Amino acid sequence: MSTILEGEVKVIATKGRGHTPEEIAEFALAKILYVSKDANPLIREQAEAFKGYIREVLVKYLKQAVQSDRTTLANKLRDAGHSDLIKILET
Amino acid sequence: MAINQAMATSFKVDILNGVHAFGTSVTRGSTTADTFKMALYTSSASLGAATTAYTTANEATGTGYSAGGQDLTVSTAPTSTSTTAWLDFADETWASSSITARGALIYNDTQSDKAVAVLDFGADKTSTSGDFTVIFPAADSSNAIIRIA
Repeated sequence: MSTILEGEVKVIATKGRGHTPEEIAEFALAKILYVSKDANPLIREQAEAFKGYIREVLVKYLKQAVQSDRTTLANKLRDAGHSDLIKILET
Repeated sequence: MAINQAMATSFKVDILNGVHAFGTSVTRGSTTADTFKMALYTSSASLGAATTAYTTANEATGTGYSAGGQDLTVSTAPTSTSTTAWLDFADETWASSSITARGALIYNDTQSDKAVAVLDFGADKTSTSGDFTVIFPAADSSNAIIRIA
């Protein structure tokens, strides 16, 4: 018998800030790698270790992307004569 | 040789692609994919299996949210793994928003706002001058948001 199934979503809502690189890394990880609860323990252990490595790489490069974008924004603010606002980006 | 009664896996994928029409079909203007949207709702909304189309009743409001919700991106077009057909949407974010919502409706904006799926967040979720992100499950035949097994 065939059935139509619906997956479960999660919601992450923030207050007074956007998502952090760590949060976005988790969103990406959920798409990249899913480790089944029913998986063989040895395979699951390896998969979780791999997931941990991917998490570190994602966080590192997401932080780099944020920093790089701030550099671009700082230059745009400077060019527009708002050098004082650059300090806000540095906090 | 053997004959195993089964619903063809390719048929399941075809259903998700709108290939077959056993009843009166819709007139399509093109062969491109339809546009699917997600609207957010407060806990006062009445949504479920009987919901047939998008409604503005008890739809969420707030900074960063527009009536009707936002377009979804199909991140994995209908495909199959083993005998399960499935598809996936990209996570959806209402950025710089102040919204409170208890659930959502995925609907077909191209086909008269017809309902696709109702999502229950389990509790009120609130963003305050922040990001409100709906995270879709893993894109595979065991977890994807829409599956025909």
